[in-house]
Amino acid sequence: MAGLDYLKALVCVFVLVVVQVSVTPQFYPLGGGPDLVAILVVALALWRGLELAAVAGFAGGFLLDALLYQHLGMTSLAYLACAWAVTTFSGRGEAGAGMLEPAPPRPLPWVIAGALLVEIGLVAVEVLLGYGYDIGYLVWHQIVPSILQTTLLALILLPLLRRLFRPARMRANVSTATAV
Amino acid sequence: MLLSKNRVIRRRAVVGLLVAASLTLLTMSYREGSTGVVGSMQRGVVELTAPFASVAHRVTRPFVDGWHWTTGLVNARNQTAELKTLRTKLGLATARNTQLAAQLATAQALAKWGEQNPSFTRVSGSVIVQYHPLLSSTVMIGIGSDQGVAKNDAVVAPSSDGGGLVGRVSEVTGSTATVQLLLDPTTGVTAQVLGEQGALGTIVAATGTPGELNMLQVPNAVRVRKNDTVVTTGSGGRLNSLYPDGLAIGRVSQATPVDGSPNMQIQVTPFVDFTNLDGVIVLETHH
Repeated sequence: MAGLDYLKALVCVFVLVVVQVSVTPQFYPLGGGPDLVAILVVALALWRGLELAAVAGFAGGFLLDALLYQHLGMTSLAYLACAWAVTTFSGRGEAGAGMLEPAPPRPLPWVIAGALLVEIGLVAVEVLLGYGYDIGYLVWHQIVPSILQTTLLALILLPLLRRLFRPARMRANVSTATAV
Repeated sequence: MLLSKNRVIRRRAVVGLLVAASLTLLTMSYREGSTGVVGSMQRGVVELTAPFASVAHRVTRPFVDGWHWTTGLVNARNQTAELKTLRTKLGLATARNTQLAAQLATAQALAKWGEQNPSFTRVSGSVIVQYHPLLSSTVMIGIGSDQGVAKNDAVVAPSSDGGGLVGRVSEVTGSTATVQLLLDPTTGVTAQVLGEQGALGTIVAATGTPGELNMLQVPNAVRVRKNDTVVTTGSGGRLNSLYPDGLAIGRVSQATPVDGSPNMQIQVTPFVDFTNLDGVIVLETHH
């Protein structure tokens, strides 16, 4: 089951990256662009946990950096931070033994927060690496349009991803733990 | 409990490994740029994804075109409104520009007339009230006694031919003056044809030809030709004329002897366009 999840996640990453770099730039009405990989990473973080979300985020970031000829690893770091933050702050992180994992929260606010974190993280990494940017331009021509478009596309994409990664309110593996 | 711990450890290990991999890639990417392992990885990814990207691009092209057409339509509507506003602004600016150009031309003509006639003390002004000159034989100008204008001062206007006599000041207030035009049938100006001995006469408004002048009392014996220039004489028999001598009035357009009359019939076309008076010069001749 876990292997199938990884396979589905990687296929999703590939498809979404291709769509993100080849299709959505043609629709940009306001500048910026939707972050489809962020939607997937947040969805996986909420429904499948940190591990799968981190793998998907790393792969998505790697592909994006490679396709856009950016410094490899930069976007991966941002998605990893997004996956970690969403699982930690939504309470989907590390359930203790014998504890029921809480029901997954509504994903849309987390998508917005996650996409914002990725945008800010990327800007922060680029600033740390010495790129000079006008903050006002970045906010109004990159971050805000990107968040708005990501939110709109999340309304379409989340139900599809939910069918692929149906969230299960899983009980932690108490029986096995007890047996041991 | 133990398995749960293992799960936590594995999770942390995976995330830590991925972070380390990201940092390693970032470092290598900075060190090697687009060459070496990093470069070949990037090229490999591009080669792998290029066919899919191409297909995705082709599949979505009709939707993209539809989207662009729709947004283009909205933009076109907005641009139409903007263009209408701009066209209005342009029209206003053009009108203002034309007005300023006309004012400049008038000012230049006034200055030129002043340079060509340095003997006159003069003051320039603009026509502020003008009825149709063929219906009303007076105009009002925006200068008066405060600027040195006095009753009976001669008024000239610059023109393409160098300027000509307009009339005289008939009424004056502090800031305005009324000018009686040469077209007034009740007025007359003693004049002569330049270069013709004895060609003296009186300029009056032509009764049958609106806007034209007649020169009366010129004997048939005098040779007057078409296009001769008519100027003021500065004297009127026993009395001095109200106008100084040498002011251009117009050009002879027709000169024909009249059977049974001792005088010729001479028609003069004024240098000044009375239908389009703007800048005028008042010669301070009565102080």
